[in-house]
Amino acid sequence: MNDQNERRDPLEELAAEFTERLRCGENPSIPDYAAAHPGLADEILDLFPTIVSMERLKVQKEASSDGRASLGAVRLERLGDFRIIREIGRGGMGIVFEAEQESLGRSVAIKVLPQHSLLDPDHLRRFRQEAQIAAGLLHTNIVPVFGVGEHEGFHYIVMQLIPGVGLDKIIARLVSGTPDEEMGADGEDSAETGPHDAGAGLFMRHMRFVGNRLRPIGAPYWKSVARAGLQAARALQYAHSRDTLHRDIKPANLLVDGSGTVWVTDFGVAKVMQDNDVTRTGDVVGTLRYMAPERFHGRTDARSDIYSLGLTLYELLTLKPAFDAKDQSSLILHITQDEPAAPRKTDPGIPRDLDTIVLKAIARNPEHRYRSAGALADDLESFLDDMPIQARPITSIERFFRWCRRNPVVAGLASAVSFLLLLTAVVALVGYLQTREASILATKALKGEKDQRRKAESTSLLALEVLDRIYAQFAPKGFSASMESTVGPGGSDDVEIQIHPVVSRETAVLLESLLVFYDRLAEQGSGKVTLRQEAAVAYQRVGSIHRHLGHFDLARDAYRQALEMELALEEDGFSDKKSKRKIALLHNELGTISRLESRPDEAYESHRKALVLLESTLTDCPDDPNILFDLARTRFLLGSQSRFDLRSITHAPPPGRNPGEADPNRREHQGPGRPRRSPPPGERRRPPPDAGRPDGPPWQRGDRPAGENDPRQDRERLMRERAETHLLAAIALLKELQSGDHAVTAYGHLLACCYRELSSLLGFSSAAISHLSAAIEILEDLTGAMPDDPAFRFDLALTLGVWDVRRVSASLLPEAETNLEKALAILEELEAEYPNVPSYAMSHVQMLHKIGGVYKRSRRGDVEPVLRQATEIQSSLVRRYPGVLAYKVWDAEILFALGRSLADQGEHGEARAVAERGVAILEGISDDGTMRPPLPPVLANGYIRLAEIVGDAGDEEAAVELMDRAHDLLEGWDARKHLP
Amino acid sequence: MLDPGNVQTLADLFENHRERLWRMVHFRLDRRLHGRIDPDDVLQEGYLAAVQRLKHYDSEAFGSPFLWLRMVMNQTLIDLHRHHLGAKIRAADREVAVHGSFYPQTTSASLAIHLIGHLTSPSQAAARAEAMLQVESAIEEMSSIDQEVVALRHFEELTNSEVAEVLGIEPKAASIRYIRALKRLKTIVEQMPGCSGETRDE
Repeated sequence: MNDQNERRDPLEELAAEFTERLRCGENPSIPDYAAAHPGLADEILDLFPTIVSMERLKVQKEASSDGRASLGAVRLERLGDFRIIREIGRGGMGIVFEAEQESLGRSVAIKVLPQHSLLDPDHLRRFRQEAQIAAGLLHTNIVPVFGVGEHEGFHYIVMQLIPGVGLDKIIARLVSGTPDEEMGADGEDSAETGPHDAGAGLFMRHMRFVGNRLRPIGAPYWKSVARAGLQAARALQYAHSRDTLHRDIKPANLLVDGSGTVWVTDFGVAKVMQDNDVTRTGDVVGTLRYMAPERFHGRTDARSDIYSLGLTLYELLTLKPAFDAKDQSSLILHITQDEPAAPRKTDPGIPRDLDTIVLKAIARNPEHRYRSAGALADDLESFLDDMPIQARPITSIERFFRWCRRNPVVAGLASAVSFLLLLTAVVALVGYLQTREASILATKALKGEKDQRRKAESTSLLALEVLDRIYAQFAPKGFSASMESTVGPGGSDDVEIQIHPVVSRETAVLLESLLVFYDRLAEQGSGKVTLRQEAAVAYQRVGSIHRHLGHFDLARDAYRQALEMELALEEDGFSDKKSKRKIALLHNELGTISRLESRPDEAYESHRKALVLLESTLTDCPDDPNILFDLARTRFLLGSQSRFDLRSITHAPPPGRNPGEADPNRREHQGPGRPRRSPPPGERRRPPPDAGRPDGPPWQRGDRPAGENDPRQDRERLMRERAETHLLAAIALLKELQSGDHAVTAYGHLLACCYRELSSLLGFSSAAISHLSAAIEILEDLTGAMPDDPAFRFDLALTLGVWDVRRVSASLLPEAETNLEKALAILEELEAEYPNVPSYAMSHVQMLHKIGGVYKRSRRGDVEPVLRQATEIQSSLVRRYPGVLAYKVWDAEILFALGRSLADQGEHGEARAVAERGVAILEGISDDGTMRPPLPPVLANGYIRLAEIVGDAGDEEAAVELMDRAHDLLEGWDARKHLP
Repeated sequence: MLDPGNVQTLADLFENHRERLWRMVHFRLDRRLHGRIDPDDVLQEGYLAAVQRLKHYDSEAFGSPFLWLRMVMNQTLIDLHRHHLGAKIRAADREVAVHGSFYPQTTSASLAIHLIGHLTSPSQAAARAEAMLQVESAIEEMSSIDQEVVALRHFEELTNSEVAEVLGIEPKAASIRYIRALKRLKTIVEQMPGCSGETRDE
């Protein structure tokens, strides 16, 4: 090891010293360091705050490692005047020690806060303030606070030592049902166990062995619970009257001493701890359990304390937590969304009034709780005195209404909150189903079986309805086939990568959980006709959910199952025109699946079946608007289907591709003396506008003399005509429907979608433009009438943005630009409102890309910032949905466009770097073993784009090399022969 | 100095470095085991293992006595994870080799937990899982050695030369890597909610 190697980075040496000082509890000043080392000043100012953060995070994390406080790696023996005798307990916020205050010779309890040395002065001040307030609370049921102190970075609170035990320990002991050896079930306290078990004895004394477990027996136990609650409620009443909230009422903070007195401890500490950021990592589960639901929305008042006390009493009564969950997030979910079962459900022996009191205290809505701790105390007192209480039990019907009010229409899945709401709905439903089963059992004895079955049917229909309402929130019925399958990079460029319907992770979880319920409902489907019909619907939902999750095989299975059930029903003679519609719908769903799986022929076949079926139904009732509408929708699917068909044909590999003529303008990019093996990229990528096809791979456009008799071209023309026919038929149907009833928004919506499909089918002819205007007009009306419906706005944006900016004629360019900007504005709004809907973000990116293209042509706007914004959004999409191939391809595409734009401005260095990132992304996809058919040309396109940029910068050798690579890829692609 | 024939020297060594060893255990302990296993118990078990192995300690072969003890501790920790997590630990994503030493939980995961662990106030809790993923993937972008350097420097409180020894790199390289990793971390830490201390609940 030589001297050179021994020398450390001087900045690192300073950092080490700085870190050491931090760890010693000093608070070294970063500016001082910078001033003392002017040569490194910038880096010191830049990096040292990160060191502080890291050290702070470490201490915070260590302080709360396992949900209980810990002093990290330190062990305490003394805090100033206080000699630590033993640890009495640990809570989330600190460790409580028994200590001797040597100067006064008295025993005290000291709560040592885990966080130290890094509290900032502001926090410290507030901590002291709160402790002052707590010290001012003088009540027979509040643990007196003597003061606060600090010793070597540890802050602590000194309190009276209560010879008692926390209710948490008592509950634990009652739950385990095995009293300690020393403490008999009769509650006889032996002197050896010390005073701490005395409190437990008070409760234990009312327990008796049932089998080999202790269970509470009768009135004395319930009354002891009520007495504990009464004392705690009076303590809260007193504190609240002095404007002090506890904020962390839980069993562990209620101590019971040998005389049965309840002592509330830790007043105000919660607030300080929260304000501090000295939050309590794992402890959150422990404390969250008793936290009122409104606190998750940042609201808290006296009624939150009442709630927490109520929940504590709940646990004492039932000897099990009201909300139990393994992890924090499901616990939050339960608390905010769930109504705990009545205590009497757990133990019917619990007095009805006490049950009512506790339920009122823990009502989810603060408005439904006791208005004050005093009112709760009064009711507990009345109960103890066998007087009537004020609280009234709520009926299960009211419970259900409350649930409904809590779950209004949830707009989209915009946020974690609405996700929680949705999950809750499911949770509530489970509870509902269970209650239902219980009530069926109960009623069975009393009422006839027929009655019981009727009830089961109606509740299961209700369950289906609830599920459907939830379902509709994330899977709104749209008609936009284009939403689910987006054209590849460039909007009209070389290759199409199908974007499967993508749902956010949260939605996926939700969908998975819904599946379970639908499956359960579906399984019930034997027996009565209504149940069988219901089961078929459930299978259909299962299919739809799988489709959204991208499980196409499972989706197909479920749809087929539904189809079979419907067909069986039909066979059994339960057929009506409605069931025919259902069958048609299922065919259409199957067709959509086939399309998503790139099986156009199967898709067409399915939609055809639906069409035939619907038309046969029409003969019986020619004017049924529902059937007419379904027919229009099927036509629409057939029409857009054909368009996709068309694409899949044009993706065919280039047969006998001719090397194009070298572009004289680009000649300088060629390596000297090296024959160019591939046509110049510019020419390939930008075919003349009259190529006559909506889309086509570059190597086809213009390569073949027009009019040559190519069977593929014939088929294409046929397809296009077929699609046009379907779309025009759909439009005619919808217009007819509209003339009958103009108010149905679905008619307009679908009509607009048909116009849009038609306009993009027709390219940018004048006919196409007029269709487009018609679509826009309808959608603008719809969004105007229903501004809150994201589906209309999204379709409007897609329609406004349907322009192919590279092929639209110059005269239409201003119109395109205006439309695109409008579309962009809408998508920006949508993305901001629904950040979890990836298709909004994706379309936003595509729109930015198009705007970039239009600015480039019109030279009216600045391309670069637009594309930079697009890259940002796109990369974040890729990060969030790493499994979606199309997002990566788009990420690369945007980078190429940005690179192009930078190169045009002469910033060759950055241009190249950006484009190389794009190529790296594409190569990354190819490397991971998914070199699926569309990829080689995509990657080749990437090489070409990079080659152009590199060539512009003058690195001809690299450009030629890249072109060769692209060429080789396309050659290999040729050989693959993936055309059927 | 650690004397293979004298257990007292081991006891002294252990007492001198107890805090740092505790930090190592705390940092590396799999998140699923927090709450089930107390770091202090791991230390105790590791100490007993060290007593057993003391006679094999050879200062020539092992270098720093502290790092030897740390290695024994680490082995104890891994055995514990095997015992408690069983088959789960063999999942590829859980066991990552960094220069020959296997940690039960990837360092990036441990780092992410430590960086995100403070987001626990009720309203932050929902955002936490998301942030965790983001931070973890940001950390994963750092080279694995750089991740180790940060973990060892900050969470295990190793010195530069100890870091170099553990990772088998030159002290100069360790020092350069530390500064580089710090720059990278800065961007990660800055983007985290609640890190600046300004974010408050309620």
